[in-house]
Amino acid sequence: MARVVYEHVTKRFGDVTAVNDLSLEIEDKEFLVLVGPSGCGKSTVIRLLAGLEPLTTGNIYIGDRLVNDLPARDRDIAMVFQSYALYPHMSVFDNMAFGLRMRGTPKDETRRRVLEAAQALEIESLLKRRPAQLSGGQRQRVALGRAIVREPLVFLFDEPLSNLDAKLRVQTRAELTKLHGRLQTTFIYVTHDQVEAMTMATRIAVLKDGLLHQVGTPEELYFRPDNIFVASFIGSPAMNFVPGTLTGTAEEMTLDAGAWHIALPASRSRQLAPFTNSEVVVGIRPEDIHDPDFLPARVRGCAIQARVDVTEMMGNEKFLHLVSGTEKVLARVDPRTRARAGQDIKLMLDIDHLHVFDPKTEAAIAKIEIPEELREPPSA
Amino acid sequence: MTVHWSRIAIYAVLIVFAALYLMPIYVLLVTGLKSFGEVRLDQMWDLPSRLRFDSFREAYNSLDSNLANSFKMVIPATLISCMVGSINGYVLTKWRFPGSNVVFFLLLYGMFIPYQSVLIPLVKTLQALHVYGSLWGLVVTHVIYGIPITTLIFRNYYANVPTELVEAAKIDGASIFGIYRRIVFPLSLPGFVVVAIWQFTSIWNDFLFAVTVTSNPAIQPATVALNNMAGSFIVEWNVQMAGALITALPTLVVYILLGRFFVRGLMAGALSS
Repeated sequence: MARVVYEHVTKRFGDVTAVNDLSLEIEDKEFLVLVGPSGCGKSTVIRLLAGLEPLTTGNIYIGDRLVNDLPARDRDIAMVFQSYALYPHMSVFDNMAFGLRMRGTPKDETRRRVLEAAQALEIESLLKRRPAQLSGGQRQRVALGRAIVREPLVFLFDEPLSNLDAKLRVQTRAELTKLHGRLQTTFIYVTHDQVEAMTMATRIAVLKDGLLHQVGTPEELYFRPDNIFVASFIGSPAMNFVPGTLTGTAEEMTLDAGAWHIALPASRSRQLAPFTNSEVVVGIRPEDIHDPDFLPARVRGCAIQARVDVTEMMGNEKFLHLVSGTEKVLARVDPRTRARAGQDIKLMLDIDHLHVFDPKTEAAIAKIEIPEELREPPSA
Repeated sequence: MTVHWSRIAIYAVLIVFAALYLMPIYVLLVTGLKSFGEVRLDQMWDLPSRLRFDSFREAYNSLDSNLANSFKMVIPATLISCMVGSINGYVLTKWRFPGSNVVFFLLLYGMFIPYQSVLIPLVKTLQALHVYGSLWGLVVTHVIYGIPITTLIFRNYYANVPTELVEAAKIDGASIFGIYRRIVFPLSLPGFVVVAIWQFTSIWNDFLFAVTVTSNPAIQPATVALNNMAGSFIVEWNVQMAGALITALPTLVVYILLGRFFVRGLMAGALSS
């Protein structure tokens, strides 16, 4: 159990800066997910912590210890690799026991801990098998088991679910969350999949091109993204962006974006008044566009017209690919919504869920509030 | 139909080349089975009038101690070569250090140094090491001369062993040598077989180093002794050829035995991790 601190950490590979001046504090027992597109440096962040790469500048602490020059084996961390990296010539038991044996743990203690972990992961019947005789899901469990038996200060996961099929991934996600609750240890988890980040993390760190863009709870990232990149990366399908202009006064602001003419309510007008007469980018999530017939009671709507391009029935919801003016917009509406391709329909934008960004810096200029009912910290 | 004809053509070509390759061995075999009187140039291709194994017996009697010398040299030399190559390959692929590529290229340059050009410094060096004239001198020579090729083979082999295995072992607490001993070495069998076949064959067949380093007939390897069997005036061709066959036998056995391991190693070596 330990907190992890990155202090102005930079890592360069030749001319390429993989991690750029990263400062990040990860609290004890936190489940932090590092997420970003491939090549954003997120794997490097945990490889630096694991001691698999030397850092160029900066400091990394595990607990109170500065670990910059500490070899991997003395850092008391465990890592689950994307390929699992099971030792192919050893049985499952030996794979799990390897780390303990290397540290001179007594034989019966080693045995007890391996059996305990195997029991928890339901792989006791596989202990004599070789990795080649296991399915992907079983290998994944063995890799987890190998990490668990070590009882490390910090668990590192490098895209551990990407080799599993979709169904197993959903199942393992829930198991990892449970495991984190049971072990009460710091988890640092790397993925390019924002769904994994949203579902498991206590906090998410979004990286792009080696730069940390935002750190926060899943709710904060979803409702209050710092910039266009975070807004587009978190949430699926991705947020729609439409360029627009703000006009008016603190009492009554108007937002003109493409074919939309939106009169903002008083609260938002006050918030956006300093930006009157400036160009902005408006962001609206597909789920914040509603069919007027199925408008939830809490939503304050603002009517827009749009032409339906394609409809996609998902069963529990319906995706509408829309063209409004010259902008393409995706809406995620009630499955009962009647819409045919080519039809002009009326839709409602959730006026309290409009995100506004500066087109030059791409930074959010007015964040929306996290809905009241989500503000309570999720019960542990 | 075209497929059919191309098959026939391929087999025809293969048979012609196989025959060309096997012709000297045929001559070796039939001459070795003949009596001295029967060995004549105009009867070179004829089968012996009756089978005699006298010349094999005679050749074996005069070569047996040299064959033993060859084994005493080739076995340690091959084993040490394999270990050296394996450790070099491991460090060069899994523990890259600044300049490791330069080191690797320098090692490879060794392959392009012709034997003949280093004979005098070789003798001087072995004398300084007090191993000149002994089988150990030959072992040292072959191990060092084998470093480039064994390193190259193992480096290429280890390039296909996932580096994540090494990283996982590092995190699990193993040291650089612990990782070699417990993870990399146990996965190296196919690499060892290839290198062992290569080194065994080239060391066994070597003549130039052997004749340069060992002058005492009692410790000379079989290749040198075989050459010395030919008298100054008379060459007993039947005995000479029987000796050549006997001397070639061990490398053949190594190919047949280890070659199977090699194929099996490839089949089971699927490093599904």
